[in-house]
Amino acid sequence: MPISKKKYLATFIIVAAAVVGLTVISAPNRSEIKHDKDVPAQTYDPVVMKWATLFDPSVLSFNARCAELNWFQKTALPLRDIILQSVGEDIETSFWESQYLARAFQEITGIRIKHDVIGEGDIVDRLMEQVEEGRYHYDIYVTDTDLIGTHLRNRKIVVLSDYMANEGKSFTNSKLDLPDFLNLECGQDYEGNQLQIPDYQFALVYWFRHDWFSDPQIKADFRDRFGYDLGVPQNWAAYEDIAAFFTDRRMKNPNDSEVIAFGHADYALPGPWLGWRFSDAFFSVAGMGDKGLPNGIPVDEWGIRVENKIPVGASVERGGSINGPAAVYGLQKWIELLDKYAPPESMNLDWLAFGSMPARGHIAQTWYWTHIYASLNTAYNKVGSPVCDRQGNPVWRIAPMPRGRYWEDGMKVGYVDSGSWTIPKSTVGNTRHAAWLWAQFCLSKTVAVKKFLAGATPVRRSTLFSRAATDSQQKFGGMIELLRSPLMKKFSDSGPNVPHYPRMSKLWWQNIAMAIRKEKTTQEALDNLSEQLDIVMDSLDQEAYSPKLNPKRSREYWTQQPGAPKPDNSIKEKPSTIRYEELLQQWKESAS
Amino acid sequence: MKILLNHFSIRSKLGVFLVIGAIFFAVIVYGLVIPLAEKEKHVAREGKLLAVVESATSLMRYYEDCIRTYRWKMDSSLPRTREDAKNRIIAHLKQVRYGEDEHIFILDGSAQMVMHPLKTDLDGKDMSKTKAHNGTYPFQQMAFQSQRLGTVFLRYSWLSKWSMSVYEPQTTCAQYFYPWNWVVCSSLYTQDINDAVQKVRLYTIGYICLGSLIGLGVLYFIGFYITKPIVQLARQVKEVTNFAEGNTEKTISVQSNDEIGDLANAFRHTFETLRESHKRFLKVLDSIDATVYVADMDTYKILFTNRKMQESFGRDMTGEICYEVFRAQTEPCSHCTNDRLVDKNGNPADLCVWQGKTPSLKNGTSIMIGP
Repeated sequence: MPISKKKYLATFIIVAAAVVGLTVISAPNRSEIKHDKDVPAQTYDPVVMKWATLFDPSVLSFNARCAELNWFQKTALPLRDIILQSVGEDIETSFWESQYLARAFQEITGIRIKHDVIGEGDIVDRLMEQVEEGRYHYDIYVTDTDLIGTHLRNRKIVVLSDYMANEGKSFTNSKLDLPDFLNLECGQDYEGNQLQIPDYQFALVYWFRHDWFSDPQIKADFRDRFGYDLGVPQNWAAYEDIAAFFTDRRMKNPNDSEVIAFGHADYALPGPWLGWRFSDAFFSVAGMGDKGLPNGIPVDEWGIRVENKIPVGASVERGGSINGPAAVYGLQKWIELLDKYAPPESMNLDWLAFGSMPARGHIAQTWYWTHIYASLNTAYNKVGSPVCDRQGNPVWRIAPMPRGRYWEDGMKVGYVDSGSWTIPKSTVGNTRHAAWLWAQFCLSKTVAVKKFLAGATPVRRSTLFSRAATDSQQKFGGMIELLRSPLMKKFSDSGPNVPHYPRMSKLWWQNIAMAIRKEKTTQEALDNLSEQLDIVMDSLDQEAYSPKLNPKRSREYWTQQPGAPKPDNSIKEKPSTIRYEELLQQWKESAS
Repeated sequence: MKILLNHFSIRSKLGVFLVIGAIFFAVIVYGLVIPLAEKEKHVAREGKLLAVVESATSLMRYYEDCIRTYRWKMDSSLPRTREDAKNRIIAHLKQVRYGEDEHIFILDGSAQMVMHPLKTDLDGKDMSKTKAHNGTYPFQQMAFQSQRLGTVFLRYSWLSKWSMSVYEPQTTCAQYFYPWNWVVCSSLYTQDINDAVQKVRLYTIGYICLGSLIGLGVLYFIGFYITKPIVQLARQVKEVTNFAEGNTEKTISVQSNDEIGDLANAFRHTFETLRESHKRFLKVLDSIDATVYVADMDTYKILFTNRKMQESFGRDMTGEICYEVFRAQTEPCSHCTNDRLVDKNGNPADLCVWQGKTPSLKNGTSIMIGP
């Protein structure tokens, strides 16, 4: 049978298509760099376009980044060549702002920035010297909103909401989008005026070895010994059992290293950081304060009773609770666990040094941890690390801190640190405008995601829900999921009730250190602390809501009143744990 | 394709398959294997560069960390200021060499040369406008893309090591160290990879051609040995089936222990059966007391006459033309019934009976039955 031309053609086409197809499929990818197709609609200054390209990834398109940076450039025209002095706390985010963002800002606006990075304690000291003694240090500060109570009473810093509405209106970015900020209320006074605006935030959480907690043999051993399942502790009773279970137990890490484990870890070196350890929500989760968000009403997590915005006492005798049964129980338990289950070197560690300890692979859990530690210590996310699997993914996870037996539903569940931009009133004129522009630049949506990738301290919802944050979920062991959950509404900073944070916070560590060193009993140490706090408050004469102490009354009187100070509760709590996966599901469901 | 191949002999088919296979193999090798191998070579080279660059940046990170955490307070040998740290790094990296005198150089974020260990005259110079042979601005790209992506690998053409006029491909790894606004770079030539790939390409095409030629030769002989008994079998089957020409004693002689042998045996058995059946049929025809003959419908050639017919005509007329013998005519008879023996599709028609006188027989009446 003769072959038709059509069949010859069809055969040829099939063979040719197969050859071409194979060649195309197997051809090497020569386009190494993907070009941004989002070409700007208008021409911007090359510097603007350069930085808009460099601030990638971002939640904004290239065009929107150009527009925002262009606004900064145009707005800063009358402010060019101003030299601005600013300062931030010594965490990676601040270093990135100092050593990278400042350069970008200077190139774009012509405003020269010298952004120092120093310890938080030094920042607070310098700020107070500046606002109280008139000694100039910086034009703008990034300092914790723990000082909000001080600022709202002293009225020495610029009220940003007023400034944005009036004097600084033309220097305020219309794309600032305040509702997009997380925990904006941390920087607000009682009336809702914005005194400080968040630059970075990080939460304090519970940290544990998920791989050990998931091991069937370990789980079975735990159940045999305690009669309930090993899981994320919901209260201190379970935390203590888990600490006892793991301490001195021979454990194996994913990198095959064998260790004698500790069931607990903390830091106890006397210094300002020791005070933060307790004032940053430890006593709050012990249950010292009252119900009511964000800080407890009328007694807050510092144990200060506040009536009509006026602090009236910290000691039980004046209606406060810093030396009440809940605080004494909390401190006693803290010291007991430290002595029994923590590595001996804990006594010599400060906040920063402690960060690397859990990553060494011998700690089963700690009730104090922040993901800043993961940013500062590569061992939390590194192949070969004892706390990572063979792909370098963490085998640790985080969860909210377990609570003490005085804690009740309706109280805050954790602490969130919120370093915020703060402008002293002594910064005036164009310098104030320039300082505000610099702050907004560091908070802008253009740079927010890149800043998150550098320092992992998101302050915007848009950043937290960005693809970059989703991509890095695994790296943070559940922190992104927790930050996204509505549970974060129950986390807060020290709040507006502390009338003079700098003077009062330093009293904490000095007294607690005496209890740790056994120079005083916990009751004596806290009695001393409460007395000193009352003395400081009594000495204050502030412009607004200045403390006015209650007259002293008997402890019995106050402990018989509803709420804090709570009477002695020696009933042993029932240990409670939850499976981590269940907890994670709860966060996801509540977030959706 | 199937129809196309049906027109080819087995040997031709095997040849076509070999050629297509060779082309397919060439496409796979050229389109997939060689590019993959080339890519792997570049990745390995980039890995080497990255290790070198990261060793430099890790030292910078260590010094930066010392300054950030005031570690110099406990160890006086550590740098106290960033300037001090930078100077120490520069002094150190100036001496670092690896491979064949490969080195590390440092740019700043705007592509200004901070340190080049071999060309110190470049230190402090703006390199952003320096063009590569392929028209790109490699230093500008190193500074910019590393700030954008952290670490980048750039490929471009640069003056070779051994000539002032010959350009060769080069890969540079650039890593941005933001605390100091430095871009740490190191480069390696990749001409050797290109050469190796080119060599592999030439060898591959050579081997494919050679292999195809040898393959065709081998296939020709393999095909010959496969098809020879088949051809022989076909010829013998044709001869054996030609009973009418008296090839009744011929048989199939192809002998083999393979599938062709099985086929030949099957044919042999079939033809033995047919032959016996044929003999019985002839006996029956010879025993009939009537003249019977068989003629070819197309050629009118007499194929068979029975004994009665041979006796009646006094000879065996097999091979002669029917109308010449029976009618002494030079052309087919006008009343020939051949056209009624098959239908319009060429299939056998119903029994056809015709009665008439045969002049060559005295008392002859012919009855035609066919086909």
